[in-house]
Amino acid sequence: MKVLVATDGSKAALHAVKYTIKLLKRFSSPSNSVTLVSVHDDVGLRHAKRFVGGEVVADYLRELSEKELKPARKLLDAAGIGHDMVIKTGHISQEIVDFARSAKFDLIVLGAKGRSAIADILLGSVAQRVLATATCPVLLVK
Amino acid sequence: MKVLLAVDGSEFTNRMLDFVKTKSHWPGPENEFVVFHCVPPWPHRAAAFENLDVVARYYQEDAESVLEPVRRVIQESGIHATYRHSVGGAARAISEMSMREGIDIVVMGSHGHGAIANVVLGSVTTAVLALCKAPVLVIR
Repeated sequence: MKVLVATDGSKAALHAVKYTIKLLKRFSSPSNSVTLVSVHDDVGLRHAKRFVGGEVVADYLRELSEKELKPARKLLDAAGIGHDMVIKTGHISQEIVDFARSAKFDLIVLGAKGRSAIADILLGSVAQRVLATATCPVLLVK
Repeated sequence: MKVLLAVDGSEFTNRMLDFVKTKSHWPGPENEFVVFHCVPPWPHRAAAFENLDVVARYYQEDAESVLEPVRRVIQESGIHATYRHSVGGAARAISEMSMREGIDIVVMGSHGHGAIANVVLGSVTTAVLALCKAPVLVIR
């Protein structure tokens, strides 16, 4: 089972990681693999790029991603589950879906609500768009 | 793991079963599968014209017509499951059942019967995602 866990450092994303751990612990198989992916939108930073240069922006986003991935990695490490980490920039849901398709993942796990969602919204925009466009099963964790 | 498979006999139910079949050892070595179908109720006025028995039989038959093919597929792949149905709103029934019975994961198709091809996510699936506290696995 090749699992892609999308994380943005939010509470729901961490729940998604915890749930993935629970799943994989119950069923351990050599074919299991976990990949964490963090995507940041760089479209909104077009202007910033013009002033400080694309590399600075890219560094900043990478740093941001690494910071967000840290708690998720800690959880996986504590559970003794090896994992890969992928950092991308671009349209968030599109990058997740495209990556899942091209790397042939069996399952995408993500939090039902990410960082930007308003408190009483039921389903985040990224979750909605991933659900709408993904070609593999999607597991939403609240 | 206690797994709730929500079925409605649509094309997406078949896709969902294909997924479950190939991953029968998943999400754990010892799973308890509950197959659940919710029959849409008759409109009140229509039901009032009919004998109660007739209505009850209709619900039973409707549920059986959906659950029977599922039972066949599930049994062929050697999975043991219990089969349940209820009458009413599907989304509410699914989420309430998942909470009441401590379901670990709800598995369902992305669309049902009502879906127009270009709707990105079926209405029942959307409502379950909103109501249900358990993780929901959506099969497309």
